[in-house]
Amino acid sequence: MSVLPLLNWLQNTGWATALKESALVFPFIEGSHILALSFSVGMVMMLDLRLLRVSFRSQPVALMMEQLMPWTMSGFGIMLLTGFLLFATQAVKAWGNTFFRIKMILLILSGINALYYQLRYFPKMAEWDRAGTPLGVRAIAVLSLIFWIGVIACGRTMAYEL
Amino acid sequence: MFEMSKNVTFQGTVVEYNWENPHTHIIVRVPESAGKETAGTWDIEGGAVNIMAKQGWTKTTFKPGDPITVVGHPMKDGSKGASLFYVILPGGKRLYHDIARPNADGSAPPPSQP
Amino acid sequence: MFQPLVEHFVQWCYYSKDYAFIRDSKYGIPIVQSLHLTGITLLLGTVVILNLRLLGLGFRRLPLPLLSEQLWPWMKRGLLLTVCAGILVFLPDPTRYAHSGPFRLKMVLLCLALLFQFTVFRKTVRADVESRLRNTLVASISLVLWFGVGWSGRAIAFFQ
Repeated sequence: MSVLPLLNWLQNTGWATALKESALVFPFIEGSHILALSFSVGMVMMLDLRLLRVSFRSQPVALMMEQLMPWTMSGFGIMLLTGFLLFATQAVKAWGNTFFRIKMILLILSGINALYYQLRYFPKMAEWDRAGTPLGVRAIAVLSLIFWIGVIACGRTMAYEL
Repeated sequence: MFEMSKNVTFQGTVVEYNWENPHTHIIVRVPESAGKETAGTWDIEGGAVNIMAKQGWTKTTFKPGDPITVVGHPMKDGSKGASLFYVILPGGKRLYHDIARPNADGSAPPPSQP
Repeated sequence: MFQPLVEHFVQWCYYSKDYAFIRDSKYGIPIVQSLHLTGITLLLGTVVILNLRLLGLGFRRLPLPLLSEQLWPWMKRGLLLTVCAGILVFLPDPTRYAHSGPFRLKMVLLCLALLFQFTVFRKTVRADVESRLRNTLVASISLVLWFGVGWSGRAIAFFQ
């Protein structure tokens, strides 16, 4: 079943059309998307560095997560909302764009990665933090860094496919 | 993506005129009579709404069915796409994509990118 | 007065064979721009954490001296990557940027942000005694400057 009719409908809605034709609002939404991504992914990177025991070694993982999560989530919220709005303005074209597809796959993988951490390692966090970080946690942290840098790169490269 | 040091010129009919961010797109059909090099359907990429507006473009500068003369920088891979340099309106006036940027040695215009 | 100098520099950049490959290769430009953005991610991530802490809006259970000590090296690495990649974004296409109003604004704000970062800001995040007023003022200025750099950078594609 093709999603094209849905995508066509989306990009022809009144608000999507107004957004893509606007002189000021579109740049504001796009700028918010990129800057929100920047600071929130930057914070995620700091958490990954702690999981890898590269930085903040004196602080419990639990504390780092608790302190970073609220602001990371806020940034992600802005990123996802603005991302959806931007997608809506050229839904059909974005859907067909190779780099957009890779970006979405990487985003989903990133989510799965985080979910796996939540289910497998979060419950016994205090224990392994003391005993020694499991290989699995380190792998998750490295994957997180790779996926997010990939999202950034694909987001940027989208513009280079006509 | 575009070969910015080359120009391609052709005349055709507007199929779509998409006044939008981040890039305005004009789809142009060039008739077979124009020759193999330029005949076909081209996707001309312009600039952001605000940047085009500063050059005199509006939402209604073109509409489907209008004749159009385009000068653009072709795609590197040879497909029928181009970065808009300017169009020539009936009467000879040029509408540029963006501000003119000087190039001291007088050769092909300097590049701009998406 | 600076115009001929700028033009000469711009010509040298564009015709320099060393950087032409960035412009002429298929993915050269998106790659250097992505490196620029990755640097910005590190830079903004660390700067925003420190500023939120100064403003008392977050990270309150982490002592400021610890935060600044752990984040400062990553801030510098992010900044280095951003600036180096930024130069590689500029060099293959100098006329576009040199003649862009938002780009010029971005450069001015960048100079101010860097100056502020390595003087007042650094002192404030390393201070033994914290002052509420000073922290708030410094954090506000820092955020305005850095997000100003970020926003004007994005504006290059949309405004002249």
